[in-house]
Amino acid sequence: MVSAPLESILAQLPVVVVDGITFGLQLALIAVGITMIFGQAHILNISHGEFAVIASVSAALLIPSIGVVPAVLAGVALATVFGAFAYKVILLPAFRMSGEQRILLGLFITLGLYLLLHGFFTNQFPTTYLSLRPEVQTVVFLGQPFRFSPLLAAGASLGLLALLAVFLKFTLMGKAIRAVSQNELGAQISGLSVDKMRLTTFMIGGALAGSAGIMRGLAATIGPESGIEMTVLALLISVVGGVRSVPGTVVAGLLLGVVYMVASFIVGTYMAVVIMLVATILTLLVRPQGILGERD
Amino acid sequence: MSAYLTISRLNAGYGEVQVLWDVSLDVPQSGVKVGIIGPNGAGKTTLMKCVAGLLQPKSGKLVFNGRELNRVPADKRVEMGIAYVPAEKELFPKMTVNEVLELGAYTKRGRNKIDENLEFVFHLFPRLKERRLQKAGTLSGGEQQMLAIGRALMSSPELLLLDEPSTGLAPLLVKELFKSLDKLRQVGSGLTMLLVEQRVPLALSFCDQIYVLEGGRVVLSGQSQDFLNDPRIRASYIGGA
Repeated sequence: MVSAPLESILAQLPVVVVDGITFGLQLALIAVGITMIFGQAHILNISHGEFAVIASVSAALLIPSIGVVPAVLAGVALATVFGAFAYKVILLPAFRMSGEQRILLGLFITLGLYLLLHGFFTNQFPTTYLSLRPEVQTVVFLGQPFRFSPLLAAGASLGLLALLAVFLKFTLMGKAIRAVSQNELGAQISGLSVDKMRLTTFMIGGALAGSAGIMRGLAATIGPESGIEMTVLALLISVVGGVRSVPGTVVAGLLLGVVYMVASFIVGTYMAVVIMLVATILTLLVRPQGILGERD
Repeated sequence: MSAYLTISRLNAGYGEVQVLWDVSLDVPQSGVKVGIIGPNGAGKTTLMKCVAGLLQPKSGKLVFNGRELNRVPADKRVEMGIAYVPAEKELFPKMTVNEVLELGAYTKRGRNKIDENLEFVFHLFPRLKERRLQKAGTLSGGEQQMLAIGRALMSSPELLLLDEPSTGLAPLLVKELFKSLDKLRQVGSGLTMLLVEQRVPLALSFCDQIYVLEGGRVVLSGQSQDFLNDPRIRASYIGGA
């Protein structure tokens, strides 16, 4: 009698772990943007999860008229453009300041932006959910049936993160972006335009968050109110990953995603959030600079 | 004909604190090596920052190659041929020597001659070639200084601003560094240099022209030769003999 639930838990564990990985990769897509924007511009973007909702809501609205693929691409494009708009227009006052003042003002401005977008989406499009379901429904792997769409979402997320890693590591633009976050003054005297690198970073952040919104719609369902949950979880991941480290953010995303999903499966969602926070605190006690972060 | 670089009546500082007072400086033609000497806090670095575009002067005018610089941002000045090597080096600690040099050639001006310049930098500083896959943050002080100069040279500069390159280096390393700079001086005879240096004898032997800055004002200027021959100047700025 006692061993039966344990057996059923163990039997389902692979599926739950895969769900955790999928979820963690989506959060990593958002967290990487938060990490990069903080590194480049010293802005902690509280509205970053809303960029995902911009993409999911607009894709959901466009699908009936232009079809799935164009709608999804348009949604991501819109999130990208909004990233540029947030940097060039909305955050302008913050860039008149520097140091801690900019961090604080950036926090308030993006908090306001979150409230505005959240209010707009939940009022104007309260029932606009994005739920993409491909025709293939399950695949069998190692004798276990897996739902196909979360796997597709995980694969696509992983692909995007790999693309980002290659871009940052090997292209001149990617190196220039890293240079700005390592030493802004050094970048300027090398002839790099800090403004251009920041704009690019906000657009990449917007595009990745937008993609995360689409991936969430593919793996599960994303509604107009989902932004803040993703922001909060992504912020945790960004901190655990070591606020300035992109690879650290991806590792942290996978770790916390799996912890969250396994914990919700065994003890329920509410306790899962508690366990995730405990995991975060433990990581920071052991490594205050984050998993792969380096001390300044 | 106007001078190559003209700084006229420059006033600059940080917030309420004024550091430079009516500083004027002339580099008559390209290729001249100008030394700026003076005690700590005289405003030497502040002057360099104004030329590099990292500090907006309160008043005064900067003209380079017939173009007014005041409104030109720092990164565009690199494109115009002005390269700054700050005393603090300002490298990218987590990047390899190769990557730092590649970023030095970020401007169109630098990219056009990237292979040629890279070869030249490695010829000038063979140590950098040995360390090219090492992270900049793990280099010794002397090597970081070489890398900072190398990064500046990668932009194909016409005007090189060197801010106290000997800071924090052991005497032997200073000697080695200036040997390389001499090499640079001979090969790059068209290269104009503005050198801030605390070690006055070094500055006098390296530069053609000298400006003495004190309390944010130019108190003396002239040819290095005249400085070397003037006993009073020898006494107050060089000391000893």
